[in-house]
Amino acid sequence: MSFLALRDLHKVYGSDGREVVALAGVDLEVAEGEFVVILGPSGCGKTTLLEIVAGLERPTRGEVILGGRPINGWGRERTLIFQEYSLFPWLTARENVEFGLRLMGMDREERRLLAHEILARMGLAGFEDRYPHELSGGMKQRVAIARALAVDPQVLLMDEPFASVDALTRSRLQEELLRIWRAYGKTVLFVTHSIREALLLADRVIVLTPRPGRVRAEFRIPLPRPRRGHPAELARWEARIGEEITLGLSVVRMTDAVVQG
Amino acid sequence: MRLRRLGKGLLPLLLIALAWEMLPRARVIDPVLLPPLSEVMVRGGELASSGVLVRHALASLRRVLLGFSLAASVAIPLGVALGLSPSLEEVADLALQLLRPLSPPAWIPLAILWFGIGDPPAVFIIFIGTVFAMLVGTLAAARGVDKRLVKAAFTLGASRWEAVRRVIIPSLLPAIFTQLRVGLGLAWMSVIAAEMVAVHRGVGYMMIEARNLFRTEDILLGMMVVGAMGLGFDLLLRRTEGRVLRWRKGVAAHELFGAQRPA
Repeated sequence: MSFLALRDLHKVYGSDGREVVALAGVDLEVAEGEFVVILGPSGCGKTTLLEIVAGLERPTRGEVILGGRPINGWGRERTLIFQEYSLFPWLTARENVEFGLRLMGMDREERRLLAHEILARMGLAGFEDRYPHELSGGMKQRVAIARALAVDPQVLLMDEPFASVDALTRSRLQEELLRIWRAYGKTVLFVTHSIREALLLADRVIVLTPRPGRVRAEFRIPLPRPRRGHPAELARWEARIGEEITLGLSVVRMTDAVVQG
Repeated sequence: MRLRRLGKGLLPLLLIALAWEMLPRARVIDPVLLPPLSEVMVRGGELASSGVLVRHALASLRRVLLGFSLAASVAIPLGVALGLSPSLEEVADLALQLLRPLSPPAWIPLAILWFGIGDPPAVFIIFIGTVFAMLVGTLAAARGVDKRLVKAAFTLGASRWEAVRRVIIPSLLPAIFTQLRVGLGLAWMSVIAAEMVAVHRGVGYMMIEARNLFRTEDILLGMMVVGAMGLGFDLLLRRTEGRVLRWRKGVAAHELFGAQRPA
């Protein structure tokens, strides 16, 4: 019995002949504490997939099972981190982190202590009282991660969280995320369109087909971390997965051609 | 900085004051129709020291605050609710669009019929004159709330109601302040119309009386008092806004304008 299971997920948007199929039968099993990266081109339904797991979207068919129970709606055990702009701009970094704790009914002192500790772990000591607009892009994402960790979720869902920061910040954030992942032992479902990022982070990479999304291939990455120290191996994996994706794209083009012919 | 800004604002006022004083004195304008500013001020001093002016001003102020608070406490929550619920909005939309074009004076006959004379019809007219604008403004703002913030709140464990209270309302605060300022401005605009019938106190009443007695100074005085009170309350709201919305600093685009020019 896996920890998190996605069973035959379908998602169709719209109706009456103007339907768009975003997901067409996604199956996925994730073990507890596993770091799974979902990789796919733009428009393959990655975000839809995460929002279904988060409980923000209802699948047209299929179900998500967490810890043996089907999920129904959103909840703090499945916290979602977005690409950008999801901090509450009227709250300081600390207050953002305290947001979920406050909803849990935690008292002021305890809240403050916990927020302080998590922010310090994310390298944000001294920035607790800054408002989001006073922080850099990388810092904002650190606050977003701290805010998600604070509520102690069972699964961290991450939707291209580092896509809008510069390359240097990005690799630092990736390393920090791995450090945090090890320290907290969270299960992570991470979405990206960067093969490199997927390889640096994942225990397992899931490649989705372009719209409609379906699991095309799955790779267990056996390289030890930190993986930047193995450039040759990384390059080999990158080529292999890249090939799989290109192949996926050409298969779609061929089926398109058949349909049109 | 603030002083310089105040100084800039005073310049057109000084020009108007100068023209107001000189033109009637030079008989370019008939002083019966426009008495010189100094005479209006003298008359203001008389009325102020006798307490008449204060009594009228307080009567108007009370009606404005009453009508405005009633309107705000209906318009803001209802606007948020309609903005968040498309089905509710569909139900309300037609009625809103039908009632909105009716100006405050258009309600006067009905107000008197329903509420008789004295404060109630006046407060009702101010209420009607402000509620629709604030409602429509709040509704539009509520429809534009960032979806991502609400999603983030949900996955941090918020219920729908908690998301409204802790995310939607705070993110709407800047817009709500704008609506309050709009509403208060409209309330001052409506009060004079409201007081031209069925009341025996208030700046509007004073002005109608003055017209009947051909006291142009009193009419002008009434207009100045309303302008001054309107300005005072707007400044008050703006200061509160600045204090409550400190996080907005550095977010607002207007800071970019005038700071630099394209090369």
